[in-house]
Amino acid sequence: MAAKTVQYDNIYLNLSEKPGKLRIAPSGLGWKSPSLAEPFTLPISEIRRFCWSRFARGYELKIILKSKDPVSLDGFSQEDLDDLINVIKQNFDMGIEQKEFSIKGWNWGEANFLGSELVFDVNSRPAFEIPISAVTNTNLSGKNEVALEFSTTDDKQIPSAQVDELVEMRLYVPGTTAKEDAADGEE
Amino acid sequence: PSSGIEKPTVKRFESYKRDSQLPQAIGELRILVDYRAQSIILPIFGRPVPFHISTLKNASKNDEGNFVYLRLNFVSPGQIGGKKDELPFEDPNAQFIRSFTFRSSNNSRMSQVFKDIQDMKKAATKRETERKEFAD
Repeated sequence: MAAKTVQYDNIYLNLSEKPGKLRIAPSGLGWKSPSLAEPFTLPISEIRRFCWSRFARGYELKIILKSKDPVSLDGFSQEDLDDLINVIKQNFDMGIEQKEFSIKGWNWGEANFLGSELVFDVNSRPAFEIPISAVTNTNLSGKNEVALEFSTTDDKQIPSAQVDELVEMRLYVPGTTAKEDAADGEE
Repeated sequence: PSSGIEKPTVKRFESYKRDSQLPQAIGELRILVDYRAQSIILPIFGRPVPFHISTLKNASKNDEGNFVYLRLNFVSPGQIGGKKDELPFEDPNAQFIRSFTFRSSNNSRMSQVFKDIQDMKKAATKRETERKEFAD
């Protein structure tokens, strides 16, 4: 199968307010929009793997990188998946991991560090993911309670679609000490 | 039908079973109140994450400068003021989300969200009280 270049219009990059055009080429990915002077590019050498899941504005193709925070591309429709599987296979010889998230509505589970993210699992499925780089402060806010504070998107290069922003999360952790094993990129 | 002495049972609830049941408005990346699913949907780093009204303990709203802060406190073990007769926890050894605080610059919309959450909580508490009285 020959490598090829495909383009998707109306794709949002990292929760951008406005959509842009995504191009997937044999050398990597590019995203351009009027809100950016220079297109955002991602060479294949930086990409570790691809994930697919239901997201806010349709479906999300999430790109896990080798050294930086994951890149989020959302706005896909469910029907785009088969094409994406093909083009990513042909161009990069990689697969797409399809993930199902918990939508049970429960507030109990287990927080785990996975690469550069903190994942809260409910009933063995992820419920949400927090980039560790967004955590600006942590403290023990009470007996068996950990508080995480998050940075806001005020200074983002691309205008964000997030109107309501998460600024703090408190987690009840049973046991005497909260144990944190922050892995550095490896699973 | 009563079987004599009843053991405390964990009340099971589930916001959604399938992704297709999530309301279209999740695309707006805002806090949503979905009465039909008795749930609040929170945008957590872009992902719409539902929380059933049964998990909510209370909510509070504070204005600070140009922003309004909405804090949602959830039911979890070992809380001050936790009632003895509260429902048992399905997994008391799990970790629990105790609270989320969101910040928004849209005061009037957040006031409406806050009111909707409180109304939904009040109605759920009332139903639960009636259910218990009926069971006695």
